Amino acid sequence: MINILMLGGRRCGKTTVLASMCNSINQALTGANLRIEPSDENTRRRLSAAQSVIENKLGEFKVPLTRIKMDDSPTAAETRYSFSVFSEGRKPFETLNICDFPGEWITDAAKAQKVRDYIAGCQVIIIAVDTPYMFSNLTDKGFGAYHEEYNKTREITNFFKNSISAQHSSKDGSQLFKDKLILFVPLKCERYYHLTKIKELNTNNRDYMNEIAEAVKKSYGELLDFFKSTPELAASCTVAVTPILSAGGVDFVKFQKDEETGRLVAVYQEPEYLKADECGYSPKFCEQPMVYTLLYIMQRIIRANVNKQHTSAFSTMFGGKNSAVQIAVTVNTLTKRVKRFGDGYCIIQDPTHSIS
Amino acid sequence: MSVDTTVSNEQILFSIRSKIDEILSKRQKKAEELRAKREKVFELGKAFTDAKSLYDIASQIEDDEQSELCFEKIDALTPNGKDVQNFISEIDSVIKRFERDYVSIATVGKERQGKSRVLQSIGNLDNEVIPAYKSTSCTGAVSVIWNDSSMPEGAVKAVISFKDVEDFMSTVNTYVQIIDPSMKLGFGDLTKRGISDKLRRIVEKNAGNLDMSIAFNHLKDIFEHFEEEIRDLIGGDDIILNEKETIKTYVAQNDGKSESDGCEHYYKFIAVKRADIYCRFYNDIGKVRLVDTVGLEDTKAGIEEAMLETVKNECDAAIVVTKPISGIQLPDQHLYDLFRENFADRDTSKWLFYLSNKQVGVNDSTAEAFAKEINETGMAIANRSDDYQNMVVDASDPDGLYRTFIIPMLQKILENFGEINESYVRRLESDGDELIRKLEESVSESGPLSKKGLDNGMGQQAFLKGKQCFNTMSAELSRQVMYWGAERNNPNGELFNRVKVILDNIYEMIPSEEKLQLMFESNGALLTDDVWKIALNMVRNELTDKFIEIDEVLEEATRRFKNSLVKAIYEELKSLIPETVVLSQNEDELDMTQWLNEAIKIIDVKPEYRQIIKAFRFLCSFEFNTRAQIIQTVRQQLYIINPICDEYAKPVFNFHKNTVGKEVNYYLTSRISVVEENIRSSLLNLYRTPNQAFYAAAEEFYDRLTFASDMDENNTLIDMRDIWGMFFQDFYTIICAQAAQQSIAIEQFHSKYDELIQSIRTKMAEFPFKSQGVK
Repeated sequence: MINILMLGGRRCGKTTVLASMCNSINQALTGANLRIEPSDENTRRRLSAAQSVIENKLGEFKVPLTRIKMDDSPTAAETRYSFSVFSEGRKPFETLNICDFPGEWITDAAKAQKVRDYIAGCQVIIIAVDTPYMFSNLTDKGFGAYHEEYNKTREITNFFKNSISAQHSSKDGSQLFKDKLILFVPLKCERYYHLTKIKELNTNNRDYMNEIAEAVKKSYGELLDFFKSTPELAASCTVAVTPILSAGGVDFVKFQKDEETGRLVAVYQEPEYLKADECGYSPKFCEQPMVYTLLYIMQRIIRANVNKQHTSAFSTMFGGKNSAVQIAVTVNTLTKRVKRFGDGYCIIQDPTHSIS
Repeated sequence: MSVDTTVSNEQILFSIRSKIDEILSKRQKKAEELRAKREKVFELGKAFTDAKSLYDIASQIEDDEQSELCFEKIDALTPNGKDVQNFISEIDSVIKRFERDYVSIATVGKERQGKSRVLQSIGNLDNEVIPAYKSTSCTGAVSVIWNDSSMPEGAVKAVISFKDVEDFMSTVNTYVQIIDPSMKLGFGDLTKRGISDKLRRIVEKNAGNLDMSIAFNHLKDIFEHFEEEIRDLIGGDDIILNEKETIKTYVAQNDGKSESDGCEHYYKFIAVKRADIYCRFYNDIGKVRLVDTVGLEDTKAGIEEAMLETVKNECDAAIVVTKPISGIQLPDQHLYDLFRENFADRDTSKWLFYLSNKQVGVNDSTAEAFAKEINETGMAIANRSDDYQNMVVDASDPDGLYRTFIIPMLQKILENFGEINESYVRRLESDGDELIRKLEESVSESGPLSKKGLDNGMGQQAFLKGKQCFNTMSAELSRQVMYWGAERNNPNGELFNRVKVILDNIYEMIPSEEKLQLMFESNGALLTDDVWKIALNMVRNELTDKFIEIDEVLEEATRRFKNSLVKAIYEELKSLIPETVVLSQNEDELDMTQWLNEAIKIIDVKPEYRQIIKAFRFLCSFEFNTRAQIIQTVRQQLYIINPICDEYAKPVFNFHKNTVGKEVNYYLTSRISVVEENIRSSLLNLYRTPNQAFYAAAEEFYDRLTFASDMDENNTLIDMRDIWGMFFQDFYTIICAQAAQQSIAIEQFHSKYDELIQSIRTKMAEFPFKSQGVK
């Protein structure tokens, strides 16, 4: 069983990106002899609903000069998305669970143990970042004025530093944190992707997407330090930044204060100067976190085989005499599909060369 | 103690009256002597009070250390002045006692012991003036009964005085706080029903708490009768009453009847401070007054303290009246101990009398047993003798009372009067010894001051001051350099915040849809594209206006920065530069470089000072102007909304006449969103520039003033420390003048202080209250 944990501030759009990811993953897996499908009706329904919401929102752009407010519904309780992994022509051989829980749990002492358990039981941690909050109103710290408050950077960092055992000598007996893939996933990067590409508006030749990766490094600097704070962590954790365009043809414009709630609300519009195929619902790079995950897991299998340790159903998925060849083909395809640089992609730490 | 039976009663009384007149006259002469001595003590006290006049002189001394020393010397004398004042109050109290034209005797004792009955018998009074009933507490107020032989027999005059509001409320609040320590009532609160109820509820909740219950009973009487019988009397003028029926309603608590017989209760006594009752005594014993006190077991607040105060301040002797039920009881012992403790310096065997009240047929034997026990236990009382029968008397029998007790008591008092009075004088002398000891200690501690004046080494002193100035100045400048060193990598807060305000409000600069549409419709010559361009022009101009204004913020920051550096040297050099140069502005507006410019003119007299002058000139002319950098950065980001620039990004959209306002607003918002993003990003490095410039300037100023060592014509190294020393030496006339002025003030203080101490010593030598043997 592969467990992925999604962390991030409230309303940052985690469900939306899962829907887009689910939509695009199988195309990315073409040739890898792998396929991923929602394994239960709940997962299928939730993701379908989330996709409908975003598509409907984008549909509003058919009326010229329309701007929409994005105010995602917060996750009220822990939500599990369950997927089945198939190899070509076979029954599902592996389950992939993605757990999304309310952002507040991070700071809720009563939930701390539960979060710790999730972290202990997962192989991949996705730290979702609402990019407009991270990047707008840039301050001298290198990230936006609202970032810490809305994306809970300090809370997430402190949780790891204070609640997760990184030392063998830990007194609380909790499971040692190691062998994880940690992905920082800036969501809703459309504006910055488009601004980088559109020469009419990018008179300074800025690489906004690269600046986003830098902002991640600066704002989560302490957390990144934590992931290499012991020799074991540094030798076992893979860390990368994988920005995503959650919906495609929709750019963040500005924040405005909601008069009723007093909350900051992000206002979006249809980008200018776009090619026709980039307009409307056209998410980009959404498959990458899943590609990273699969590649990371496959590489672990290969290492385990070398060490004669069969730790996952993957080791038997391509049963038969050509299984080693099949695994090599899958890894080779995933290696080609994984995006390692450009557009803000950046591998920060990969001691086992799982990705790079 | 016995009455000589060979002499007639009238002869004895005549003798007593004459003797009283005689000793009172002697005592009054003593009061005159005390008054003269008091004057000398007063003069001593005044000398200490005069010390305060030295504050003015001390405050003129600018040298903080010297000034502080002088203030300390004055402050050290102040408590002595208070001690002398307290002693004068003590003398005044004795003078007041000695000036009295009567012998004052208190009756004290527990409740229902017959005190009032004794007074009735002595004063030939009845229950209506001095209530004395068998079954109840009856005395409501303190009464003073004066023997006035000029009054007809049986006639009474009562002068009733009333409590003031403060006294009255103090008693009320004593009760209130027993019930609720957090509550304090005002006079007006006594008419509020709710308060009484609230207190009652607290008492009910604490059922079993006797103190609360008693306190509430007193309060209940006050609350219930306040409006009708008490309120108007409080703080009122004295009244004179001649009718006994009326007098009793002011001095008694009730009419003595049992409740079943329709006992009438009175409450005016609550407002009465004291009743002075003038009457002809049963026997004319001359200038005597009797002071009735409230029974000690009465639960009214402060009874014991009030009794002791009365005996201490108003009486020459006291009678403890007891109606014994057995031998000496615990309360009797307590009362005796109370007297011994509170009058340790006044021999109770000279003035404290015990009367064992014998109620014939009721306690005959116990009254005698009590007297006998008192005699045997050796209590220090004035009427203790082997013939203890003289202590036993039926209080309701005036003849017996006078014969057995009063006349012998008066004779004893007269016999002891000299000693009684002398004890007060001895107490004054003993306290006087203590006072003088304390003053001598204090005055010797005041010792001579270390004097500071001009001397011939002023030039050298100036040179040293210059070096000292260098140290102080370089420490402060170093602190400034360190501060800006730490700040140089931080954005300048004022600049950042000002830019933030502009950019946070940038969308408000975009003309509204309505305004743009109206502009188009009201001007027929405009094309839709013109509206777009006009809107761009408006936003560009408004935005750059805002950024140009930032210069003021930086100018202000620069002014404060310069002031902070100049202040580091100003304190050391201000004596050299004419005062008029520093403008009397408030701190927020002060430009201290003006002072620095004036300083340059004054000190630019020697080539040796060139580094100082260079540093001063540098700081005066230092300016930090970011206008060009900021405007260049901002304008660069505005290229995309400036049609004359190559980078201009025209919308791929054709504006429509009917909706041009909305369309222009929409696309302009998009453009401004990009502009805002880029300005924020591109100014990030600029925010640090002011702090970096300030650091550089501070470092330059500090470096030049402290480390710019030079070579003279002989190639000898000249340290900046020596240059500052030389500099001060050159300006020493100014320093001298200032020091001279200081010296005059210090000298003046010394002279006055020494004069004062001498005067105090002289007056202490003449101090009139000294025990024998104390020189």
